[in-house]
Amino acid sequence: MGALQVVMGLYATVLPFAVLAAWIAVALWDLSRRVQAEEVGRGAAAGWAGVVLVVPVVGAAGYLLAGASLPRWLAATYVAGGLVAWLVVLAATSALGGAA
Amino acid sequence: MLDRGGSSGASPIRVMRHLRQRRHGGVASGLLVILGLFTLVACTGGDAEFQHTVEMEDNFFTPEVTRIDVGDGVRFRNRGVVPHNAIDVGGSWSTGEAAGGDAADLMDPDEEVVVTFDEPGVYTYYCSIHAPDDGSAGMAATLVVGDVDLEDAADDAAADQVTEWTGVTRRVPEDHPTIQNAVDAADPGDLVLIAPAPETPEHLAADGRYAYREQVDVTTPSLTIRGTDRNAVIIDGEHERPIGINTVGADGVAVENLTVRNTTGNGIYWTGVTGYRGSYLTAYNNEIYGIYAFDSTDGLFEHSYASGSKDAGFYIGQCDPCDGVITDVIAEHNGMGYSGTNASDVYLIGSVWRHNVSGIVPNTLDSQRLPPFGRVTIAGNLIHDNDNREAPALGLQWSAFGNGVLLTGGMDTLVTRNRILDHERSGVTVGPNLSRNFWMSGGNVVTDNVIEGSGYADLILAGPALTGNCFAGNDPDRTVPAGLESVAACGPDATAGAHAEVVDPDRGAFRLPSRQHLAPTLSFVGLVAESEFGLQPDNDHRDAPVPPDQEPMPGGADAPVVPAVGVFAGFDLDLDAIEVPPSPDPTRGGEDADAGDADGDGAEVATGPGAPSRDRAVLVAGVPFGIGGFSTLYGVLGWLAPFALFAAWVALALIDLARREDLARPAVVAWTAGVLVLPFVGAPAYLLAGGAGLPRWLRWTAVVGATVVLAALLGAAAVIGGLL
Repeated sequence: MGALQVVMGLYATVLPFAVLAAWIAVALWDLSRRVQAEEVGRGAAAGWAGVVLVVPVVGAAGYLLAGASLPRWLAATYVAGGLVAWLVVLAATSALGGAA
Repeated sequence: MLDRGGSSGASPIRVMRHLRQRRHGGVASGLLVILGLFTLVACTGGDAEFQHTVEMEDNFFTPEVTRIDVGDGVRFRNRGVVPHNAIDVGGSWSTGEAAGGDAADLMDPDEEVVVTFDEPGVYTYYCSIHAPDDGSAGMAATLVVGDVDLEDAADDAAADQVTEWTGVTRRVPEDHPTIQNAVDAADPGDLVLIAPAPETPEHLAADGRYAYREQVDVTTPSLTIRGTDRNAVIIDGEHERPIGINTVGADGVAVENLTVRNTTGNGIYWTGVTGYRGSYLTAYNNEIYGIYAFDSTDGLFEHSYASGSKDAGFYIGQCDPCDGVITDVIAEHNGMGYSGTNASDVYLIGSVWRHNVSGIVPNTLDSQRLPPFGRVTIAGNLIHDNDNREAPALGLQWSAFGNGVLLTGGMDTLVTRNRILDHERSGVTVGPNLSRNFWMSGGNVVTDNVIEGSGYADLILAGPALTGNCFAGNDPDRTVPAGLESVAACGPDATAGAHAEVVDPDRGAFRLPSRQHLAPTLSFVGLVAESEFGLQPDNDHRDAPVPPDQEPMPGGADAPVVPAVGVFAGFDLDLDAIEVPPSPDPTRGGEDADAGDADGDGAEVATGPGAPSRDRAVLVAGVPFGIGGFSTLYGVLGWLAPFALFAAWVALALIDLARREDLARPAVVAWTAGVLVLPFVGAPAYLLAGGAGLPRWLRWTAVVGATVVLAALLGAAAVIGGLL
């Protein structure tokens, strides 16, 4: 196994967690911005933050797709793009012989 | 070990000693001795002059033949993990004398001796603990000085082996005063029968028992060396002699029903042989290995006991295929119960491995030939409490601390139907090993074991790993990574182990990439740091417990005499009949609980439901807290912090892309794809060069500054831990 296979195998391992962390960060940043713009109240924002932080995976992705102020195409890019990116990395890693 | 002081009185060559030790570095001192035609220079600092290097590996010299000009220097460098030396068969020089000590003095790993040769000739040299003193086999090599013809100085007079007992019995001490005398007189196929040592002053050992105070070198094949009483026939190294019974290049030698203790190297040792057997042997407080076969095939260790060795109680190394079997043995109070470096096609069956620093550790090292190890079958063993901080261990062995079964850098091994209890770290870990190369594990199958009471996790797959490692039917309480039996499951037809044809093992259909974890690997690095930092317990093998009397060989002196020929082929092994052994604790193990004290160590069996599992380490993303500060430190700095930093980069990049109004939609999508798909470099590349709207100071601080700080912290931690 070459170095590239090791790197790809490691990246395939960490990418889903990094994507989840990024979803959470984008969601919290969006909530913060909406509170400052007084688009949502603090209570609703706290509720959404709880969902984003506590409900695994679905919480952050659900907020981005259904609750965020981001353009829909951007939210879809982030959510679907994260999943697609993971699959692409998985496929590349498998092609290199590192994910079986 | 090398004598650090003094000087040799006579040497035919010029020698310069260069000591380089991992922890202590060079020491400035020197001495000069001129005698006759030759000069001896020994110093312990600075760079010695040399034109050639002979590597002392475990256990061979490389290259086997070295040609030099008259006046050239040769650097002898121990690159192994156990001590070695180099001694001229003719006695004209040795590394020990060159270093100012005795000829047989040993060089520790990483030590060097430079010898300059001023006289032409052919020198056959050997390691005194891994070869006979005629250099005819084992760890021996040749040095050709000047323009002379190479003559093979090895004595190739070894007789052919025979398959049956000759009917001749050579009795010790009745017929021969020493065991060595009887062995030297014996013909192939003879029985050397040893009675307890006479109760004479010359046989009186330090503990008041009577023992044979000798090293027995065996070069005659097909001998059977047998004690009449396993517990009363004792060969005592007295912490002075390297080996108890040293079989070098003699095929078919069986050793039975006796005890070897207190050697400075190995208790009972075979090297370079085809056919060996050790039955009803007791080996204790031998410094490096207890019962040991190296570069040997077709062998069996059975009904034997080994304790108090810093490396391993039982060891099979450098053979592929080994065709070796270890069955019905007990190993305790060793650095490792079993170590098998680069040993493939080995069976470890139905034995007890307990109270060692680590239990069963097949491993791959570049210091020996034939890496990596593979196709080991570990089945039906009772493996418990291998986290003994009071057992002697070398530094390398400490890095395996607290694991029941540890597969490091090997392939296609089967671990099945073992009972594995109570380890501070793991029940079973499959992981990599860093030698001169980085060896990763692949194709290993871990199924149907009973694993309880592990502090870190019952099952660990430490990355990076090759493909094909799978886990099923072990019912673990905790694994690292989580859900290992789901993300790295075995299919119903998964196969591995000795002589298994593993072409494409059935590893199940559903496998996720999170099947390996870096934190356990960093945790092992933490143990290396503990050793380097001096946190490893410094236990003297001489203080290990003296074992109680062990079960004697049925028939004793009158048992059938069978030379060790065709051993593996004659061993009746029914793997399908092997079951999980009963628990040593009658209150644990469910339906097996009625077996009681299965391992026979009686008093050490704890009672009560659930006792005595180890305290569970707190895990944060796989990083253990509470089982060693260095393990936690390296886990945090080497895994958690980089991962968090990378996740922060991705988050910053996506937030910034969401804020930008200067980019068209396709550009945002393209950058998002780049951030996510390009391994590790996409996000920092965007932040530094993608025109991100975040303040420049923030972007550079997050990417470059944080990376530099993290690297500095890692470097500092490595320095503190003695790794750099």
